[in-house]
Parts: sequence; structure tokens; C-alpha cells
Amino acid sequence: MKITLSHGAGGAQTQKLIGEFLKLIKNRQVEGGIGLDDLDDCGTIPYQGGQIVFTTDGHTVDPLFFPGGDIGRLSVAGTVNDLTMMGSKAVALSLALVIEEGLEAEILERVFQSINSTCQEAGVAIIAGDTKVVERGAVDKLIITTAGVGLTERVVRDNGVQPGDKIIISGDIGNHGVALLSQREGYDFQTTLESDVAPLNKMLEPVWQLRVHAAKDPTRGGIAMVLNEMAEKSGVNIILAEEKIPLHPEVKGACEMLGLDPFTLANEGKVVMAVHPEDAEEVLKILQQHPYGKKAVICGEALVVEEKKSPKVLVQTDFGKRVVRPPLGEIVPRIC
Amino acid sequence: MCVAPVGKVISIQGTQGVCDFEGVKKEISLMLLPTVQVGDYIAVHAGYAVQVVKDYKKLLQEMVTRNVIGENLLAKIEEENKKLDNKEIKIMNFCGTHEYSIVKYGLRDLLPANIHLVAGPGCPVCVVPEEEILTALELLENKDIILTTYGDMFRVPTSQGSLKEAKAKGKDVRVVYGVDEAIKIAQGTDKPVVHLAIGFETTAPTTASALLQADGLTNFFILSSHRYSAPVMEYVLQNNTMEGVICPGHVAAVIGEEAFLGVVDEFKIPLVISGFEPLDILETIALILEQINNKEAKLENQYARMVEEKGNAVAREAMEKVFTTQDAAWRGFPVLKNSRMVLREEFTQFDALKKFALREKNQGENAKNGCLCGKILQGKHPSQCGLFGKFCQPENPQGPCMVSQEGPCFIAFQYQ
Repeated sequence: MKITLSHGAGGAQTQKLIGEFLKLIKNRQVEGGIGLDDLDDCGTIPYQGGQIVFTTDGHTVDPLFFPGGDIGRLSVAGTVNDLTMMGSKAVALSLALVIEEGLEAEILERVFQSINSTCQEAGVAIIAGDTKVVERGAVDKLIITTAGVGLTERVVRDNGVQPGDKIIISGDIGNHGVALLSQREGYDFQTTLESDVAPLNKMLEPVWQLRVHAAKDPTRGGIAMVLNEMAEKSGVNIILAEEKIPLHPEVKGACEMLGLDPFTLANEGKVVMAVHPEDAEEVLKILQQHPYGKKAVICGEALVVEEKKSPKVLVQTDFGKRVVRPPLGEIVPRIC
Repeated sequence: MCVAPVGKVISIQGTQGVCDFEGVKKEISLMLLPTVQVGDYIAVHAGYAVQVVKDYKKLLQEMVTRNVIGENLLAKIEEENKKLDNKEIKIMNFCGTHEYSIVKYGLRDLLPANIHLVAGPGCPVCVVPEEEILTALELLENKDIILTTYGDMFRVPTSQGSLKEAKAKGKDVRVVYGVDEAIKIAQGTDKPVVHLAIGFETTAPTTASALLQADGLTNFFILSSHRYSAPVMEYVLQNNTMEGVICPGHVAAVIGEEAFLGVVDEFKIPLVISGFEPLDILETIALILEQINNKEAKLENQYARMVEEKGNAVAREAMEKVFTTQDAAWRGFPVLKNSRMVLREEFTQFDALKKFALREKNQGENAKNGCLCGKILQGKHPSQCGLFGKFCQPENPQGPCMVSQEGPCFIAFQYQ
């Protein structure tokens, strides 16, 4: 088998590939902690009654600088957000650069400025690093790999959704996906949309004392992917009200124009949460007070799975219902 | 079978214009709609303006109260259905984009249990026979070319793999949104660029228009898998009993209302040309049921905001100038007479088959692996195929119906 871009698009094929790779790794868990098999946002190491939360993430993006962000901000925010989704307090990151020979030093300086400002915003330090330069053509300009450590007493899992929980989305979906598509060769459209890339740890800090049963950041694969993961791992159905899902008009316009589904588009600064119904309004208020959560909404709920059926994600439209499945692979425009 | 979003023309420069889709701006070709004016709302297909939408404001107003209108239409359907005394009614929605809308808005569940909407063959990706994709793969294997095609075509499996797999092996395969992008690629390279062109009468005029302007471009070629919609509609109706047909609105926008009169005459069942909004489809179903109760069998045009009696004359002419007909096999169908569009003599210089001396394999019945695509495109439910859901899934499709976003199998698997 040859690896295709679909294997990296964050959808069902990515899951399948990861499943196959997992078997090749022998030790996948620290005793008492969350390990690779859990396929959660991070792994954990039990320590002195609490948990050390650990994750890593490789970042490639084309172009390096895009509307609303760049690879530096993306690298920091991505790892901070993964740590945050486990309910942990992000503390420190490592940073490994693979640089293509010939890259302008000035570009690296700009990336570092962005890394610094994002770290400052998130209140994390970079305490370890590595740099490699490879021959021209061996990588495309720059790859950044970050690892991160967070600390928590209580871990929030993605499998903890309970029937009756309210589903909260923290704002417009798909902005990052559309902003990046607009930069790609062959798409040829103009939009004022910017990527939503942002570290969410400060916004979410106050919500962890409430009954948040699950949280995930809908990056590649969009909300379609994370909602399916949450439903399947938790053994619940999730039903969304389509009219409540926050969508920027330009994302809607771009999706209609290109025949894309906004549910499958990437976000880099959003959270999807399942919250105990009694705490949902309070969580919502907290999010709405923060600039990154102004358009947060309660847009669905978790339900008991019917007997002998598998968990699924449903959308109630203005007419009937439909099922939302994990996206398939790389996003291509369609005309028919 | 054709995605044709509606946007507003905000500027025009010669034969190009800029169209605004809720704030997103895209340059489009106006070659097929030369009379368009700034401020018009237009339907755009594959980067080309296809038709002006009349009374768009009214449509927007209807969107606001669409729950109420929807309720009323459902009540009307219910009322007509009472007169039918639970008779089983099969209505074929010919076009894949109708199927997509029907499933996206969960319309089937809202209809009375005896009314069955049956997906038809109007999925251009689904009906291209394996041989025609194999020709493209062979070309990629043997020549140093750039192959362009539309999104869904990319993943269709053949016995020799898919175009996507060819790309993973290092071949230069590019997905384009419209034929004009393929032309742009050709203008920027010395390599031959071959565009695998698919689609019915909505897409074919865009290919035709591009070729009519491509004079002097010596490295651009077409593999035409374009098809006429009438032959397959007739074949399906000859071999299956349907009580009515939801006719393809965007094809009709090009070929005109009158192009369907022959079908009504021959089969004597209600035919209604329909738009793609859920309200359009519900209204169309109500119209079909009303005709059945009135013992009528006529052609009606529910999509008058887009479809005129004679369609888009410029687009039709372009298509007629460039293409001629050929008998051709369709995926899962026998050879249908005069059903494929191939380039006329005058356009031989753009014909990839001639340029590269390619010979398409014998066209005949295919589907060696048990795939029932052909039957499914005639109304069989995907769950009646032994491969469906087990051996054939969107991640690992065995046939094109599981690949295309308009394929009945893909839609059934993904949304139901």
C-alpha cells in the first residue's frame, strides 16, 4: 500500500492508518495512565495523586503564513489545545524544527516572533528544542514538531459523554479550513475569512470545575470527526440542531460554491464540549465572555443509543434528520 | 447531477465576471451567458455562469418561512396521497444532486410510507464506464502528461487502481473546479495537459466553450466522457415502472423544458422539472401526485426561476458546435445509442484519443466484482447489493456509486 493524502486528512482513513501503526508499537501505556490505545488527545502519567498530561504534534502548513496565523502560532496553539482538552493546565512545550536548506532566516525570525507571542498569550514556556537542516527538496520549507506537558488532578476524557449532556460549540466552524483553501493553487477565490488559530487554555480554565464530561478541538476532519469520536467512544447518540450551529456566511458561501460540507472543515481555535445539562448555561456564559467564545452556542444534546444500534451523530434540519459520518479524506471541490 | 450554486454578479469585464457567494468572491466565465448584467443572481456550474435566476428575492423570503411552507407542502402531499388509497408510488429522482438534497434534509422520512423516491442514473461520475478511466490511466502510465479532472472522478476504482493512486505513485494528476483551470495549467507549461471531461448537458457546454476559445493552444487535450441524459432516462423508463419522474433542473436550464416533451409522449407519466431546495422537491412531489390523481401525464416546470422553454441557447449551440454523438456503454448499462459526446472532426486537434493514438478497450458490460452500480442507478436500493457496507464502503469503494458524493451508495452509507 502507498500512503495517499487522504491518509493524512484526519478522517476515517487517518483513523484506519493510525490503527494499523498502533499495532507496530509494543509499549503503549504507562501503568495507570491513558495510553496510545485510547486515541485521546493526550496520554497521561499518574504522578503524586494527579496526572502528568503529555502530547506531541507535527505541523506542516502551506503557506507558512496564512490569513489569521502562521505555522508558529499553529504549532503552539495546537499542542496547548490538545493539553487543554484533557482538562489539564498546559505548562511547557518542546520545539523541534526541520528546515529546508535555502529558507530565508528572516522567515524563521517571523515564525519565532509568532511562537513567542502565542506562548505568552497561553502562559507556557518552551523548555527544550532541536534543529535540523535538510537538503533542498527533502521537506517543504519548514516542519515544526512540538511536544507539551500539562498537569491536572482530574482528566477530562473524550469518552465521558452521558445521555442528557448538552453539546456546546465555541463559535463559527470551518473558518480555518476555508481561509487555507483560499490560498491553495487552483481554488482561486477571495474571502475576508481568517483562520481562528488560537490557544484556548485561558478561555477554558474556569470551566473545568464544572461538570464538563468531554471536550475536543475539532481540527482536521472538523466537527464531523470529533462528534463521531465522542459518540462512539462514549456509547451515546449525539443530535445537533442544524440551525443553531454557528456558521460564518462566507463559510456557507464557499461550501455551496465548492460543494463542501462545513462540518468536515478544519478549525484551530474551537472546542466541542459535552456538559452536564445543569451546568451547560454556566459554561456557555464563561465561553461567551471570552473573545474566542463570543459566538459559543448550545447546539445539541446526547441521547441514549437505541437497543441493538450503534452510536451515531444526527442533525435535525428544518425538514428531516440526517446522519453525520466521519469525513473520508482530503477535501476536493466537486461539481457533480 | 450538477452543483450550481447561486451568486450575485458584482462586476463584469469582457467575458469574465466576479460573482459573490455570501461574501466569497470568485472569478467566473460569462461565455455561456453573455447577456448577464451586474446585480443579476446567477447559477454557476464549474466556473461558468449557466442561467440567470428570476425572482431570487422571493426565494430568499421563502427561506425565512420555509418551515411553514414545508408544512403546507407536506399537508398537500398527504391530501393527494389520501386519494391514492395507499397505492405504492415510485418516483424516480433522476439527478444525483436531487438525491443529495433529499438525504441532506431527510425528506424521505417525511413522506407517506407508500411514496418511494428512487435514485436515478443522473450521477456523471457513476456512469462513466471503467474503460474510459483505464484510458486515462494508460495515458498517465505511458506519457509525460498532466491529467486534470473533477473531484469525485479522482477516487473511482478500476481493476488498475484509481487516478488518486496514480497520483500517489508520482503521476501528475490534478483536481480542478472547472475546465478553465485546466486551460490555465496548460498555458503555464510545455507539457501536454489532458482534461478528463465528464458530466451531462450542464457541464458539456463549459468544455465546449473552452475549446471554442482554445485556438492556438497546442498542448491541451480532452478525453470526453460527457453524456446525454435522455438516452439513459429512456432506457431506465423502458426497463422499470415508475409513476413519475423528478427531472434534472440544471440540465433543463441548458437544454430547455421542451427537451423533455418526447419522454412524456413516449412513457405517459408525470414529469416535473425541479429545483434543488427541499421546498422545490416537496412541491414537485405534490405536483406529481396531483397529476396521478387527475389521471394526467404531462410535463410541468417547477423550476421556472431557472428553466426556460428553450433553455440556454448559447450553451446549447456551443455544445452542438463542438460535440457529435456516439453509441457508448455506460457503467452497468448496455451500449446506449447516441449517448456519448465526442469531439467533432473540426476539433480533432484537441482530441486526446487521436493525439496519443489511444484505443479504448472494448465496451461491454462490466462490473466483474459483483458491484451492482448499474442496477442501483436504475432504482435498486444499495442495501440489496451484497457488497454494500461490508466489502464496499466509502473508504474502500468497489464501484463509483460508493465514490461520488452523488452516488446512491455513498449517500445511503454516509447519511442514512
